[in-house]
Amino acid sequence: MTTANDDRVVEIEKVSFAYTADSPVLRDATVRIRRGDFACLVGPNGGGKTTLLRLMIGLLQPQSGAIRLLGGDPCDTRRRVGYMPQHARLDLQFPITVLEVVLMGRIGHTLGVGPYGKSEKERAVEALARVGLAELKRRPFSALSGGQRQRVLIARALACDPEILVLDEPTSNLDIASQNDLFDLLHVLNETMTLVMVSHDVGYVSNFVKTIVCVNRKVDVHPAGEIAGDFISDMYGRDMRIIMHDHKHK
Amino acid sequence: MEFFSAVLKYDFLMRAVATGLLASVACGIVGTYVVTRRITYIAGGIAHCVLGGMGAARYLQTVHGLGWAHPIYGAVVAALAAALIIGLVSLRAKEREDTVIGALWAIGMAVGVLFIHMTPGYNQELMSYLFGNILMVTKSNLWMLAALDALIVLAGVLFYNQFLAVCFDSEFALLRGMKTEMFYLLLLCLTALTVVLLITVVGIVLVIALLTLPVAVAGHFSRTLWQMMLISIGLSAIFTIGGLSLSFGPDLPAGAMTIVLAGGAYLLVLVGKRVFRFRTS
Repeated sequence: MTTANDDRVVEIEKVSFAYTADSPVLRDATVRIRRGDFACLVGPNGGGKTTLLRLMIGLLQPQSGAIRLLGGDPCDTRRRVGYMPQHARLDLQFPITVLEVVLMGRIGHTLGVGPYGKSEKERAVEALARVGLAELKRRPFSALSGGQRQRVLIARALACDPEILVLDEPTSNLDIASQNDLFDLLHVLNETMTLVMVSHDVGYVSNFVKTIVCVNRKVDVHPAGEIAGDFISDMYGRDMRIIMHDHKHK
Repeated sequence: MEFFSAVLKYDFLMRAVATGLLASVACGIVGTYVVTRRITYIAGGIAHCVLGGMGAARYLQTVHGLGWAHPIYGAVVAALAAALIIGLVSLRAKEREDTVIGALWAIGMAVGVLFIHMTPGYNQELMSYLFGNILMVTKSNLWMLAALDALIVLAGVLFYNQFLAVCFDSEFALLRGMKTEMFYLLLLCLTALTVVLLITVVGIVLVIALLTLPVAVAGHFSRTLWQMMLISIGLSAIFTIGGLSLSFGPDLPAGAMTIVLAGGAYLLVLVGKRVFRFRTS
């Protein structure tokens, strides 16, 4: 391997993690993600995808092994990451407008006291424009559709000026058309930043994904394979890839 | 109307109105954070712990002759201590949060009752701790309440963005480098101070109602946090002054009247919304 180490934005080496002592969620997981990659974490529910993502950004600490994010301790470097949580986690009764949600992404950039300045608001609107929702900035967040809410949360992550975009199940509860729109957006964003996402789909991922990380207690990394099934294209009306889970049969 | 001419005539009524208005401002701001962050149970726990502090202060004052130990200082100390303990437990300990809050709630009250029992003399004051007595506010009390109010409003407004972030999505705020635990504890401390302010108005038992009902009503008419705050402040002012004036003539307890007004308004909004929706659909 001749790739320089600073080309790797995420380095997870032999990491094990358990919430309770007797049931490990991850065992000896090793994942490396290059700058400019579009990595997708797939696997069954409870397999540890979200746990791996949370370890990556320092929301959890591993019991053993080492994790480096952008060359440093995740807790120190995670401000250079734009994070999009699962939107189901947020309280929809909360009185907040779309613009206010996106402005949260600017929080680390300001002095902190008093209202956001004009330039901060402009940055937030810019981020909203990138996901195509600038005209909805005054709407209550709760009045949006599921797909629009995901986009607003992506805009919030973009407002952080991130080098890496980390997305937790961005396609959950979306119909196929909205999923395709979302992947088109992610594909454009991938031209300028590294993307890491969790997907609940085990079988299929978008054609834009470059690296597939299969997480089921253990971790296997595949470059996105070349096998595309015609029947899948027919079913989704779009090029999708089958993930070859051949490591399971070894 | 009789009430309003009486306000101009009597100092103690004037002070009661001032206290009601001061408390409304803090109540609207902090109440909004408490309701949207869904920590009313914590606010209730803090409020009831206050009885311990008030009882202890009153005991020291009467039995040991410590003149400065006014019950309101005991209330401030107990409220802040309860806020920090509950806050740290909910952030760090693996204990069930509601169990700890419930335990502190009862222990605080029990300690208060013990101290009040040990204090000689006829303890009419217990009732005013529990149900408030806005007419008893003295001039020096009022200054202290005004200072508390200023502190709460200043912090609540200056750190609006931070509190909004902590209440809406604390994890995201943490990833942006915000000290979310510190702001959460600060929010609980502001809640504690607001509870002390409100105890003079409606008493320990009724505090949660005044903290949440105006916000619950405001929630039906606001799309942002600051709109919710402004409407809540207005509503709390209407409820407290309304409660005071309605109870003045027939000589009823003002705190209870205030809460009945607030509860009635909330019920009216719920029913009104139902009927309106039924008509339009």
